[in-house]
Amino acid sequence: MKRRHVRLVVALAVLALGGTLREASAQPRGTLTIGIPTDVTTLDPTMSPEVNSLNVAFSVMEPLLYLDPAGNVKPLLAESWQVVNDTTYLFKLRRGVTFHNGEPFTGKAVETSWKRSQEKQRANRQPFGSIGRIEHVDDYTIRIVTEKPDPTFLKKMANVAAAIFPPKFLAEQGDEGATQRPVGTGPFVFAEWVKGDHATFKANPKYYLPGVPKVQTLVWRFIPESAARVAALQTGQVDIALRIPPQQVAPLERDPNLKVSSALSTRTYYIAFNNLTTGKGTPIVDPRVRIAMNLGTDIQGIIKSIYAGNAQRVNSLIGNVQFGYDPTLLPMPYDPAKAKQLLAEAGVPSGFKVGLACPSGAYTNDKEACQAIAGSLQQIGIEVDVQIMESNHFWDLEAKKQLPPLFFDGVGDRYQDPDEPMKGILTPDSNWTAFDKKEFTDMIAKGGSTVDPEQRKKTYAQLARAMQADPPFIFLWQVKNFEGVRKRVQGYTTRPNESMGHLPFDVSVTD
Amino acid sequence: MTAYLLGRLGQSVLAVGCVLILVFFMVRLTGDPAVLMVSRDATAAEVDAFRTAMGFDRPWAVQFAEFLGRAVRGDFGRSLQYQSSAWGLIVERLPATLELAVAGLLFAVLVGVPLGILAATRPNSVWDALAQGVSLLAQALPAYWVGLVLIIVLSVKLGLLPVAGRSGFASLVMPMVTLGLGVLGRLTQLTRAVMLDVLHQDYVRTAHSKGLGPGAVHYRHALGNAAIPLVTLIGVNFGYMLGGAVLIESVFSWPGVGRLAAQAIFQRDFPLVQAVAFFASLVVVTVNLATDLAYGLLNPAVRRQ
Amino acid sequence: MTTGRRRGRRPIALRVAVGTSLVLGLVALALLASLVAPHPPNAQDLGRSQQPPAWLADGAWRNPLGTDQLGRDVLSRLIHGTRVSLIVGAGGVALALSLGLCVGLVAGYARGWVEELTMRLCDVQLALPYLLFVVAVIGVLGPSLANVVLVFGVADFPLFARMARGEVLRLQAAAFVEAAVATGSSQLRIVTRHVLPNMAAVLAVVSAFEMAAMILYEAGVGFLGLSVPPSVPSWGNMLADGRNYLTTSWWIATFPGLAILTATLGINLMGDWLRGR
Repeated sequence: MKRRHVRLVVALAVLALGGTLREASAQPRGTLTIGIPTDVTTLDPTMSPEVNSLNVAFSVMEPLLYLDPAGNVKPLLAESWQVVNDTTYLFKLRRGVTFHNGEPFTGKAVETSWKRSQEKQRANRQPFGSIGRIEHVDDYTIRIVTEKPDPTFLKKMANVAAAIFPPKFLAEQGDEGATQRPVGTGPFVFAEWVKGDHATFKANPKYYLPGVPKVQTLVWRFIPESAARVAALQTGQVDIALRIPPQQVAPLERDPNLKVSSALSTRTYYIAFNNLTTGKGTPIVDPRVRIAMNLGTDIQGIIKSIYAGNAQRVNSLIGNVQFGYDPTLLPMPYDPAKAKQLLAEAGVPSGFKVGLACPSGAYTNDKEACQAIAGSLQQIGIEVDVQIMESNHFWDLEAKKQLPPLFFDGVGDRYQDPDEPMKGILTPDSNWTAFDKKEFTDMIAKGGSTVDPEQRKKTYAQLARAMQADPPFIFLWQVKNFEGVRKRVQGYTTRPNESMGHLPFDVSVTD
Repeated sequence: MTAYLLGRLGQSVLAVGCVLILVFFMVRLTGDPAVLMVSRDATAAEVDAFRTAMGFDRPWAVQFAEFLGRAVRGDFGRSLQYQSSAWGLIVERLPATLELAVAGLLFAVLVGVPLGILAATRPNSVWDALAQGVSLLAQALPAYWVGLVLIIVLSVKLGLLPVAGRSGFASLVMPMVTLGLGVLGRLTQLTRAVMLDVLHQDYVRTAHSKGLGPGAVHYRHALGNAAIPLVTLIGVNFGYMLGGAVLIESVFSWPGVGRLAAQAIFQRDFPLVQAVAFFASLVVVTVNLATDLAYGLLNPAVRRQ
Repeated sequence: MTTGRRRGRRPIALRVAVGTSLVLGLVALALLASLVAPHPPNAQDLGRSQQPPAWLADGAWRNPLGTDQLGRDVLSRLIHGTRVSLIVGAGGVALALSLGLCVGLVAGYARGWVEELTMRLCDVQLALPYLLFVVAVIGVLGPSLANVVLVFGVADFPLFARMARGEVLRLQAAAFVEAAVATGSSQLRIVTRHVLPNMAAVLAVVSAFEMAAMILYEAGVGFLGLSVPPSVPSWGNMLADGRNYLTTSWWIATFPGLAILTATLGINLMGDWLRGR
């Protein structure tokens, strides 16, 4: 053989060997166990909007797109996409992907899954609400037309609610199969689900991306009691424990086998004012009274004592990690003297009595926060009657707008974008809205009807200022979400919206 | 005897029917599941559409008729949350529930009753004080606290037992002790009281005078009759353990029916609540039948004509 | 022939004295709470939240048993909470006992279909999931002390009914009752002079531990927001609140727990007196 050719062959051999070695070292190894705070009731992402159920489902199936930690949309089952115009998107699908049961992944699967997700009895159909038409272009190309311009559309398609099921599986096994033994294209394959105890998944050997997943077995343990979850982390029965209450964090920080990971949650808490039903005719109708109540609540003091400092004030209902958050707008200050002055101007110098409803056990330290807020308002003469209710009863009354003129609640946010949360708590369309002002409704509509990011940022900055001038809420805080991780786990980070979609790609275990 | 059993069967069917009717209306009184199930960012119109699609907005009479029609065939419908057979979900959890309830009961009986007898047969001794002290602590300590302390000591500090879930006998120990502790306390106290009472009754003294030794007196004559209130207590508590040990199941993440029931009630999962109520009523009528038969065995004079 | 005549025995008298004093002490605390407690029970002081009891570092005698997560004085809340806990415990048991005793006596004496009907009624109440019952009743009637007593009393009456009936069955067969029947005593006389006093032992013991149980149940429903409002301190509410702080500010839940233990002790010791021995 000519010398030149020999060198070429050797070079190629070395490359091939190196490639194989890389592949071999990327074999999934070990078992990762995660302790989650809810009892998962379904593995079908169309049937429950609850974040933990969705995370478990995420192990098995995937949507077309993927959100990276910075909130940018990346390709997953869609190889690439094109934004044709404000309302039209063209997705080019990845080829050569098969579902766990052998069915091929094609445009037909996307069509069937998304049409199914739009059915009216799907509890989690909301992400698909804006889709007008799904058009089949060819086997690997699909065109989506939205009814109106939707700035969060791509982010919605990265949510696991938009995951793709195999069509034959759906036809044969229906809802029951999708709930109990889901099949998808994901990095893990469903192994077993012992309800109330745990769900186990095994690495998918035929996954289309190399080196994914990094662990061989993934186990989700359902441990609703936070003290038990923490104990399970300390004994090593779980490797990652989610939602650790702030008062249980200190002993974990001292433990050499653990690290505490945290992120500011996207959930924003507020006290809502009702000017639609129970609040009509009461002093809170006057904007000065509502400004006074914002000025009269010692938010920083409450954060320090109830949350041990592990929360951050918000300047409006557009939260600190959301798109459109304006850091130049300061939160309303704590100024009880000014508050009393405003109350006097509004004609209630010696205060008044008002009811405040609070759910029990729905959120971290909700009861304590409500009582602390009542204590604060007492100092400026407002006598708050705190009514604590069982959470589901509370939400039932909230949806019927039968709660007292004040109530405590939090609004979550899956896409780190204010459009959905604002629509959900401040526009007349929604069940959860207790305050109606046309100016706010218009601004929210404006922010949600264009895809131009600069224009949207301007609108939301305006909205934040308008809300401070005529507050529909007492603006409270966002809470730090704590998670405990054992040292053997590598590459895990806490996401603000509690999503675990990054697990198969980033997380490995050493032993 | 057969006539009695048949009669009881008939009444039990009626009782179960009553429970199902009561539960049907009670659970609908507590609220609307549609609003709880749908994501918070859904509009009012979307929630209404969901409610209609699921059939919650039909008049109660219509829903009740449909429920009755299905219930007599043993079909409780699909759980709203799990989207699978409501009765099937309960059956799935039965082994875990039975395991815990039986273990807890055995623990309570095998420790509590002898302790109570010990206290009664050695009144005012150190044993009496010990038994009463244990009984008192067992009754008054909150289950949550006991469970947590056990977890901290036996799992976290000593690493002997697993914290959560069901995986063999090791995982059964702490839930069993925590569940049985309250009943243990009550059983000890009740056994002591009943034994003390009966030890001074006529027939014991008659037996004494017949020349039987003190040992036989304690364990044959006294126990038989004294057991009646004990059996009642055990029966009522066993029924509770089988259907409602929510707190223990939550603390130890034990996959039993109690947690399922609580979840169903709070989420207004009508079909599942109804299935749970049916299960609970079956348990109660069976246990009470067994208890009543036991009365007859323990004291022949009580037996029905 | 024994008819349950009480026998005085010195050690029992001491026990009963201790028990009665404890219970009377608690009742006194409940009545005189506003005079005895060092602070108003709902006075919040966020700057002093979660302070440990006075004898530990960081503690102060201003708050002898420490403060809770909102800075409220634990001792004052404990004293004021006596009222709610005693009412829930005593009221609930009184209701359950009265209902149960009536039903049980009727069942045990009437026999036949009346007995079966009443016992099946008990079965229905026992089979009703307790949580559903509480959520439905309190959800509809609203959370208040009276409603909590009502719910607990009704939920617990089957135990007393079954106990009472069981006792009636047992005693009907006892020698002294047969003797009384043979000598021609009226049914009423038999019931009041022979049966009831002999049932007292069992019912007293059951009442005692059900009372302790009800104080603990109150903690359970309190955590769900189905008990008395938070402006009304109760041992149950304090236990529920302190649940999350057991590993850090343990005093918030431990002192109410000790209070419950004390009350249970007192009631049980007093129960010995009712037992007649």
